[in-house]
Amino acid sequence: MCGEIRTEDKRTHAYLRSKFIHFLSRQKKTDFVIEIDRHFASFPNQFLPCLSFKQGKFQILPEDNSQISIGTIDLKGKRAKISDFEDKSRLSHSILLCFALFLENAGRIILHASAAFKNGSGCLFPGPANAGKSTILRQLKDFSPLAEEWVAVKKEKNEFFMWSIPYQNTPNRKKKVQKIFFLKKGKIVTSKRLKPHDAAKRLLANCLFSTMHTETVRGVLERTAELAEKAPCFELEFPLNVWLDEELENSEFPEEKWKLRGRTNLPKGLDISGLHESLILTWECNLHCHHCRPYLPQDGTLSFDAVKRHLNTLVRKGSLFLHFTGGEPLVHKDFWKIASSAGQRNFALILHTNGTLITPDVGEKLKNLNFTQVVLTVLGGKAQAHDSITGVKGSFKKTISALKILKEKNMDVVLATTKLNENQDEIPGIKKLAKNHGAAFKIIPYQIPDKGEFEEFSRCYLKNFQES
Amino acid sequence: MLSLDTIMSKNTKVPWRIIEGEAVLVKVDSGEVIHLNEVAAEIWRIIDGKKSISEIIDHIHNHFEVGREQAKKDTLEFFQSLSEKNLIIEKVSE
Repeated sequence: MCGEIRTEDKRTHAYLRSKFIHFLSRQKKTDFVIEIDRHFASFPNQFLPCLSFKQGKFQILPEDNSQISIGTIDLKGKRAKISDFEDKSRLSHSILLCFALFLENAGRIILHASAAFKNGSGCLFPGPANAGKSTILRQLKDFSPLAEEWVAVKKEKNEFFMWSIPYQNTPNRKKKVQKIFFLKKGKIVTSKRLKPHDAAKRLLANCLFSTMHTETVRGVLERTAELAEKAPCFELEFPLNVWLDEELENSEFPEEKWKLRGRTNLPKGLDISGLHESLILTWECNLHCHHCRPYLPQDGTLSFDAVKRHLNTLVRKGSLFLHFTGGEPLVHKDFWKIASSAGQRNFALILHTNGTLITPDVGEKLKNLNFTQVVLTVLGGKAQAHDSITGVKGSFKKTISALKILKEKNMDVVLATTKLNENQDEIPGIKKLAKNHGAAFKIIPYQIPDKGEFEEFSRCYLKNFQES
Repeated sequence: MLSLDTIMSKNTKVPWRIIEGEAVLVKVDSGEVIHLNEVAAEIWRIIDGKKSISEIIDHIHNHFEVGREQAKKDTLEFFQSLSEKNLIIEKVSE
């Protein structure tokens, strides 16, 4: 299907060029035509135009129940006329309504959604304004954006395909719908599969019904229900500043990420979003990594009492995995008191550390306190590369010694790194280190921190603690 | 071998939470995450090193729509598997 927009007015043409350029030129084969002329003077109106079906005719009204019509659509004749265009946002919306009506009547549904693709297929992210539709597109490195705001979906031979709107049916812009994600901003990345009827409800809430015309509405309803049933739908909870590609691809098996090591039998339907919790024990650190330290606030250490109170809250909330992080959590003077207090509350403890303070004694204590996992930050595969980033000579040696100590005690260790300009070539070396020592490996995405933002975060974080 | 009079307590090294009536347990040595359904979670909740398995069977029989014999069979089996996985420890009477 292909639509064409025609106008004689130069100013209108200039505006349309920015948004609808593909539709302004004469098309070889046109399925419908939208004509815009300057017949009516515009009048100020805070409402967006709507489409009404009255006396067998589709009319664009400046607002609901209005007596004046600013456009007509002739479905059979495949022709639409819009006569009010002084207000740009209303003109775009009128055009969108025309597209929507033609597309809906040609077997498509229009979703308020963004979409991203890789090769020939991709994911749909429906949601209202501020749901994170545009945000998620920036958190994907392997997927390319297809649409930011509106998406048309159609079933063809038992598969669903999507196009961005303004709509253009060219082979390179047609992508198969693989999965649908409803977005939720949160603290950790987690996705849960939705049952078809829940997915249908959510899809319908984000479906554009261009008009109350019974047959059009019926068609949209039927196709939406079928989409919800056939396409795997998930709720995706995600924090900012993390890559989400892996989650999109692996979301068929949401239990996978609970695999600390070994097998897991967590069911797909269980809501596990609240299980992970991070505690920044202190901003202090014994290393001087240039991509981190300068941006950390000067002070900010949680007191033992504040942490203890907070742990009780987390128990009530149902958190299970407790990540100790910082700064360097091991420099906190009450670290062992805090860890043992958390252990008594049946948390699964995870320590994020640079490892430099892990001596055989410390390793023994971590083992005895039943730490589930220790995440060691390694920034280079060799001492020189690592130490030049941490700013402390000998830090690599200490971290690797920690890795050996923990592995000797048969503990679960992850080597985590951050990709920086300086260590681009070091990643394979770090991977190899992990492999050689029987540790897992992961890359933590890095974004240049804003010092003010960090301090504001710290202030809010500490304040919340005092209140909790 | 477990008998009806055996008293078990939770292995304190097993982190756990009950979420919406179901339980999630972490076996730290193997990294395994174990999920218990509603009935199993209730059993796990009341294992306290004081109640005998027989008392726990009574509790399950009273709280869920299940016959005494079925409850006995299932609970014993469940205790056996918890014990094999080292998630519970037999309490030795002094």
